[in-house]
Amino acid sequence: MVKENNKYDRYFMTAWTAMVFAAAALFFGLGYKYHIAFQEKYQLFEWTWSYFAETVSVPGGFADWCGRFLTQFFISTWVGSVIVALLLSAVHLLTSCLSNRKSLSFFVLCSIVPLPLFFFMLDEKALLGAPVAVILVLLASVKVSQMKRSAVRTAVTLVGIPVLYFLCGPVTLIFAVVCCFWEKPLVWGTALLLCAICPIAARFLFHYHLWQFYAGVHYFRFPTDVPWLLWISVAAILLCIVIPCRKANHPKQKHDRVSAVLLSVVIVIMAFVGVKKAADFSDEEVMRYDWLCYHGEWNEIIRRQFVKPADKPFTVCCLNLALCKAGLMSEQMFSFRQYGVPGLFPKFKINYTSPVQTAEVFWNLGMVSACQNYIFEAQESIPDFQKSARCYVRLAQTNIIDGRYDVARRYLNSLCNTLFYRKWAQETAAMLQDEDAVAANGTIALKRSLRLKHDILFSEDKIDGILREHVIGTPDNQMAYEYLLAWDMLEKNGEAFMRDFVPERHRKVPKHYQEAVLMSIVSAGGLLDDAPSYIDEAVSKRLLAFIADVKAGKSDSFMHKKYGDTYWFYSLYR
Amino acid sequence: MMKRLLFALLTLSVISCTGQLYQEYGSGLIYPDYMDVTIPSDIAPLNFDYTVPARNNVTVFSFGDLQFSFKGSEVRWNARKWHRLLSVAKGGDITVTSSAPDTSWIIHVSEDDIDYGVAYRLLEPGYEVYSKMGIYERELSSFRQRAVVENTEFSGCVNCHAFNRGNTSSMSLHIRGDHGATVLMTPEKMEAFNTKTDTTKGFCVYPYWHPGGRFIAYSTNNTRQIYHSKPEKLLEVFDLSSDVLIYDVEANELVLSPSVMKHGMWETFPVFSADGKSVYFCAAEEKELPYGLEEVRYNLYKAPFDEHTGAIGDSLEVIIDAVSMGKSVSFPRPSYDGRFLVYTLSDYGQFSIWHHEADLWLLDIVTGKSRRLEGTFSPDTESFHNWSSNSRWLVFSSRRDDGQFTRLYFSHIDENGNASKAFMLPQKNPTKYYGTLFMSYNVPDFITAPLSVDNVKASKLINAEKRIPFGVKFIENKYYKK
Repeated sequence: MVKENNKYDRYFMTAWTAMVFAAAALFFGLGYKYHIAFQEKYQLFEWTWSYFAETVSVPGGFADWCGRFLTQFFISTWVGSVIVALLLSAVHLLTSCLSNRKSLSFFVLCSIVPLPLFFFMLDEKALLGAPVAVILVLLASVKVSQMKRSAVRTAVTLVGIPVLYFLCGPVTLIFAVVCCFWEKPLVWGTALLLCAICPIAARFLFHYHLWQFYAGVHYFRFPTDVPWLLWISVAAILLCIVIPCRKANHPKQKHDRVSAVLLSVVIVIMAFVGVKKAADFSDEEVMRYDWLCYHGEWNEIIRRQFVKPADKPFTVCCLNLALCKAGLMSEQMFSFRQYGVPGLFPKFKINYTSPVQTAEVFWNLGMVSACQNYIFEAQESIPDFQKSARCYVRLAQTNIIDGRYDVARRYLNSLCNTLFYRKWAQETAAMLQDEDAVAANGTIALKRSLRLKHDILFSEDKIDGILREHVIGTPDNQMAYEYLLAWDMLEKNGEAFMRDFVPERHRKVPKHYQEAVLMSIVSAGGLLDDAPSYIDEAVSKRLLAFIADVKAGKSDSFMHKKYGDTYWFYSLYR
Repeated sequence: MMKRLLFALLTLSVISCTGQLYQEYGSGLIYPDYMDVTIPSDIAPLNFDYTVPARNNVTVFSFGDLQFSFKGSEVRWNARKWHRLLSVAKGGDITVTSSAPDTSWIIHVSEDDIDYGVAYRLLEPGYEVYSKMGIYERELSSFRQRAVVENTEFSGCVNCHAFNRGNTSSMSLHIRGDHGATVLMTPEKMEAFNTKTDTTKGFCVYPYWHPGGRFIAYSTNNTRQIYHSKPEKLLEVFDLSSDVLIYDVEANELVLSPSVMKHGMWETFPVFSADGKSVYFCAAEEKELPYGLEEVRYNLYKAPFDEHTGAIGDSLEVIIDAVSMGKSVSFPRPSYDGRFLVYTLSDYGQFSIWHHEADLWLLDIVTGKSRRLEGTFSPDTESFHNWSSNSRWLVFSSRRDDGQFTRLYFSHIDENGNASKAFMLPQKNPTKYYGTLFMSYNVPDFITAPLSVDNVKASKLINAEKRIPFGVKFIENKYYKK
């Protein structure tokens, strides 16, 4: 690549490239892997002609299709991290390849280009189609730049602009500028005019806003947002390629290696600062909970509390589900920060993430129609109108449980066109041929056994009532029972708790239920001596101490330290 | 390295993702079921697939000297040959014989023409949220479908589109969501209105044009959705209140008539009679919702309409007493020749679209007798419907495929009101198309010509903040004083 470089320069370049790649891969693989998994879950890449045709039928669609193709491999977070790192490294190498300044320091300087793109990719709303589009355009630029300057090259460039615009979207500007930079003003002007006209022409052919054709239709999941970091990266590419081109055949700088080392340090610092600004580790944490829930890693969720406790309704919802699945809800739920009933069932919001988690709770509770509703709404809320493999799997399951096999087959049919869900979909579809096999399937049989015999109308405001119906209708539904009591406790509704609590269901009454029973007795002016026999003496004594400390006006922090794991503390101090 | 990796990934995907599980709907020999149907002479080719293995099967279409044969389990027509056959067979029966199962059937080619196309909304049948959706038009003589308006151009949902007897130069289109508006397109102009006024209950929906083009009948509905826990029922859409209103296009004024805005009654789905002198609408007594949902039943009413003032008269006449039958009426649609009225009959409520028991019924306006439209019947939902401009064809939506996704069907209605066996909207590759289509067809209506909506202008109009408010005019009478 750099002819006059000696072998040490080449070693440095190789080492630097490897370091850039490794840093990106390690960052995504270790520190940001749930963002990678998130991307895969919210798309459904189908290997069909109709999917391809539909995706590529808008400007930038081909790059989007390539991006989606690669995103399906994010099912393995390490593979996903490597893919993102490869794309970023490719942008760096192609930029330096296009520049005619061949020095070690400039090679290092070119790695500034993928930095904004790297920061861009830290946003879960960024789509892989954007870096893919940049790479495709850079590749086309390299190819055209290698042609001799002639009328043919000019023609290829000018024809290439609308073609590339259709394939890759508005980042085609890079191609236009890079390939026409040395051309006559007429060609220059024509190229830029084409870049300006293509989006206008597209507006008349496709149903999108005009500005979306200028900013990119499928670079970002939210069509109404402009991906500024991507465009900063485009500007950096142009600067790196165009500015040095003004002076061809630059003599080798005297202190090239020193400059390269200094630049490396500056870029590393910039990367650190940028990551700190652009990365959203709180989102990463939410995605971690979501992933752990989806994969049923209940113990891992509970262990996580000792590293970073759940501190949002969404994460607390995952924690409570994990506690319930692990049989610890009635013993330990108040050992962790609680946020009221939204920590059991997060309030429904029209977005593509939070209903998925609530659906997960409904699924585990055997409330199949509610699960279907939430999961469907989540999928429909995906802002760039994609479908979700995760949602499709769940929708297939809910429809099978409800006996709507024809509808389930539709979802399975689409999943059969995917790489990683095909096997499951085919096996499930085969099972649908045999009703006995369906009935014998563990998950389906369990959910069907938890189904209510009578019909009820779902209302988000009446979930406790629905849980109560489930507890009465399907007494074996232990989870529904525990969630109902948890609801009563989180609502601080002692009366409802005492109504819903059935001591006979327990061989030994769990700690929190004992606490709630005692609290109800005391609140009603009763005496602890009248407490039922299933109340442990230690719990009674602790309540007496609690009451004494409350009366003594002990500080909140004192009370939290001493009684933070009790229902009483939640009831009085939260 | 990159090339090799990409190649490997590509190869892996190709190897892994071959073969599909297309669905085979229904128990018939062929899908879609085109056996013994009546079709117009200008319909797109009726391509179909055998639902049983029929690799060596020979299917022969014959009419007089003309014969066309197909080998295999897929019957795919060349459009030119198909239209040649239909033009020759107009008014007669095409005989279709099939060798493998050794059976035959006929396709009757009606002498009654059908309109240029149909317009409909496509969206995923769900709960409250909507993904990509829009209004589309489909040319009936070919497989060509075109997007008229899509929600990629604005944040919102498009619904309630209506034309005046299929005439595409006049259109009312309602947009819900952040850019909510009613877009009115007349030959002269296109404008966005805010149909919600201080004196009405909400936005104007369910439009129906007066034959004269000056009025549009709307209802204003305070609609809610709720869903069931039982798998047999999925969703319930109901109104907490509703009224019928008339919009005067020329005066930009809502005409409020107290006879269709009564307390304790919910009036909805207004339509004009063919002569424009009456209004039909559905009305039910108020109940406590959602718990009294299954007791809400709508009758079909008729009221006089004053074409000069836009007022609906006081003398209401019950045309279909569904309540006494323990049933409920929705979506009345009079034929444009004034002879019949087709409506949907379900067990309760007004949104029969989600009711599996919903069927289409036909009222003979001359005799006043009603009967189920047998040709359109299936064990699953038949619901929204509209007449062709010559009142000889009916388009309706049905969930008969799988109980969830509505598809379009067409039935010929003869001069005595008899419906022929309905046929499904033809597609080039029907099993694949319908098997992979996650969208439902909504609110189908015939159009006599392609829609000429300037979608750039429409998009600008919808995205702009400006909305023209509806004026309001009260008609006072003995029931109601301003």
